[in-house]
Amino acid sequence: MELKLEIENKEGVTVIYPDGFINAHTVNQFEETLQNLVKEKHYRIVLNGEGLEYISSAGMGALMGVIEEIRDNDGDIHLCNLSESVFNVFDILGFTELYEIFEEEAPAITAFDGHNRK
Amino acid sequence: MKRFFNVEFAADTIFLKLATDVTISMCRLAGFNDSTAKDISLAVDEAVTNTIKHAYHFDKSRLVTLQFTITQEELIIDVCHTGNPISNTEIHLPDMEEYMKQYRKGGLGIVLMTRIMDSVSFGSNGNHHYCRLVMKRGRRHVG
Repeated sequence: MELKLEIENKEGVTVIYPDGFINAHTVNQFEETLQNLVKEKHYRIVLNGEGLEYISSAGMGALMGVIEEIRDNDGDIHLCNLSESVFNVFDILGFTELYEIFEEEAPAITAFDGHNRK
Repeated sequence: MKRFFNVEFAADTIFLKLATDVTISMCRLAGFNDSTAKDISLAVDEAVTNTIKHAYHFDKSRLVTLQFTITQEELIIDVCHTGNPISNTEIHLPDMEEYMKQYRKGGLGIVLMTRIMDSVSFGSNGNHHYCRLVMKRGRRHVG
């Protein structure tokens, strides 16, 4: 298994569960999923990294490719349950300043309550 | 004493995970802790991806060689190819503040490589070109 992506809707928030790794080989699948969500106007997204083994710059680029449109529509991408090594990638790039990162899924979802609903 | 290990594979992104797995094993052999080993394997992922993308333009019939050299002082990983060479002068690190303001999406691989490794350089020997990643075997990385 390389990358499996499951999507659930919880309290008006779309939660993505990647299982496997996101690199240049699997990124198209990840990118397509994000773009389809945006096309369907899902602007409140949580990326639950519990099953995410690793992410390379290709995956970070996929997130960057949709974040502007999401934020322009009062949405955001929250991250949670990241392993130490995945968190480290965000940290090395300074992306911990760009994305809100939570230890668990529940606060990552409820944090959207403060945002205007679209 | 130097220890060498080489692995060669087709320039196909399907082998990226294998390349990172081999790198983690070599890092452990060189005495790096798990956290550093994972970081180094990510730098290798980025270097191999750059080779497949920019040196070979996704031509899967070409070959990439990973050459690991463990010396007393450092781990040297050469990502070798015979495609279009990349020189040190062509490498431009983006201004990350501007990068994030503009939500740009490319060019992060080289940033990761340079921030993880002690040194990253590019060179050629005739028609053989390489990206050299070096990590010192200091106490801070020991498992």
